[in-house]
Amino acid sequence: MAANTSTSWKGNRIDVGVADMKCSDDPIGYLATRALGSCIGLTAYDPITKVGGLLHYMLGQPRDKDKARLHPHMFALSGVPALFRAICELGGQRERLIVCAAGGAVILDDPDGYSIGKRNHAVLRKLFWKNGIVLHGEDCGGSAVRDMKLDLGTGQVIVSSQNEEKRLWPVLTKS
Amino acid sequence: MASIDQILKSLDRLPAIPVAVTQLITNLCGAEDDPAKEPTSSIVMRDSALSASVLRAANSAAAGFQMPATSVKEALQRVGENHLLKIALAHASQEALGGAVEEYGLEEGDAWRGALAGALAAEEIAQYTRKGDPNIAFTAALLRDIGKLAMGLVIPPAEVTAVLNANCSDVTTRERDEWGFDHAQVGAALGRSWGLPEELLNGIRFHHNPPVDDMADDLYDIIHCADGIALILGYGVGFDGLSYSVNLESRENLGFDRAGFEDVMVSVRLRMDEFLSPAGG
Repeated sequence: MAANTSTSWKGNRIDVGVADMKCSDDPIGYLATRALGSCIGLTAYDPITKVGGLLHYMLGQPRDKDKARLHPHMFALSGVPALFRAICELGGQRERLIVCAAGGAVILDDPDGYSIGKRNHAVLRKLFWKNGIVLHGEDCGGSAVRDMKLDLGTGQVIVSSQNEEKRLWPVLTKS
Repeated sequence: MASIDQILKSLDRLPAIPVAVTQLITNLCGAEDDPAKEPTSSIVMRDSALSASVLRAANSAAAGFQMPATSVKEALQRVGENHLLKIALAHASQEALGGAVEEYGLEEGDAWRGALAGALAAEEIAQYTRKGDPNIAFTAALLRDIGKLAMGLVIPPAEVTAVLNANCSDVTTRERDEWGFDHAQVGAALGRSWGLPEELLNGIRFHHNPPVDDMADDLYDIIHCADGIALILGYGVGFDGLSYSVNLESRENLGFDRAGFEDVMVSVRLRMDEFLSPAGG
């Protein structure tokens, strides 16, 4: 599905690395992360205050709690609460957040369940289900590597992969 | 039908390897008493850009010192010969691997970051499983994808991209079905033209398809798994995406379980910062 977007992506680019998280209320800025393999990119955006954030986590949960304490954005279980907290500290409200996810790709032949991408996605779904959080758009799975962008002025979320773009938010409606 | 070596020989130009890289490989992987060895600091100091990169990375690695090292020799004392060699080799290889590889969908720096992530993963796996030589694993994994640099010279770039975008099966299988060889085999041939030692050439050749016959070797399994970790982390991945296989046999041969796999992923991510920052890549 090719997106027909109105965003020019010419504003202030805020890069989010692997195991990283950034939040901003810059109305002419956008958050971007590249090369989501098995990692998952998660955006959250308050359309009223125009505060948004992007988390790029690597694994669902840490085997070593110290690692999660030192590097919270590496894991879903520590990174997702950190993302929501940071957005609320900038004036966002949890109940208004538009949340989208992308990534969680898997290696083709993974017979014994390492499936890091699938596990990353499963941990996110479980975390959201337990906390009553709605996922408004997602593009997860498969074997493609994705880039993800969140426009802080409009809340538009775009995922691109292999020269193709998808708009996760606002949802495209049939005319 | 011409061999890949013959095809490469027939080309007007081939990707080149910096002299410093071959010298550093000799120091890292060669025998202790190899007469070709030269002090690592001398190799690094001949190139001012390399010296600056090595100093930055070494200072990042040697956190805890109040004052940063201001010379390569001082950095050597802080991080040790082996560590400095790896930093130097990684940064010296940037000249060869740092450019864009458009037919693979790799922007400038992507291929090098993928090489580095795989190298760090290979070293970590060798240490975790206590199999293979961590130095050789690091070096072979660093160079494992050099074949991608030459594929666009051997095959029209648009054809390469079209095969990658077919997105239906393992990439190396698609490449072999289409042309009779894959980028790993091209990489080994390119490495031979550079004069790399046989062990590294095999590491490159087998990084997607480690042999299970009498050619089997822990080193190839390590590089294969390391490639998978770099892919999963999204380093050095372009149009090919994650369309590769990671053999169960390789992980079993190494005793490389899921806990180890995740631990190595975490270590690689943290060590990438050390090699890349500040302003390193």
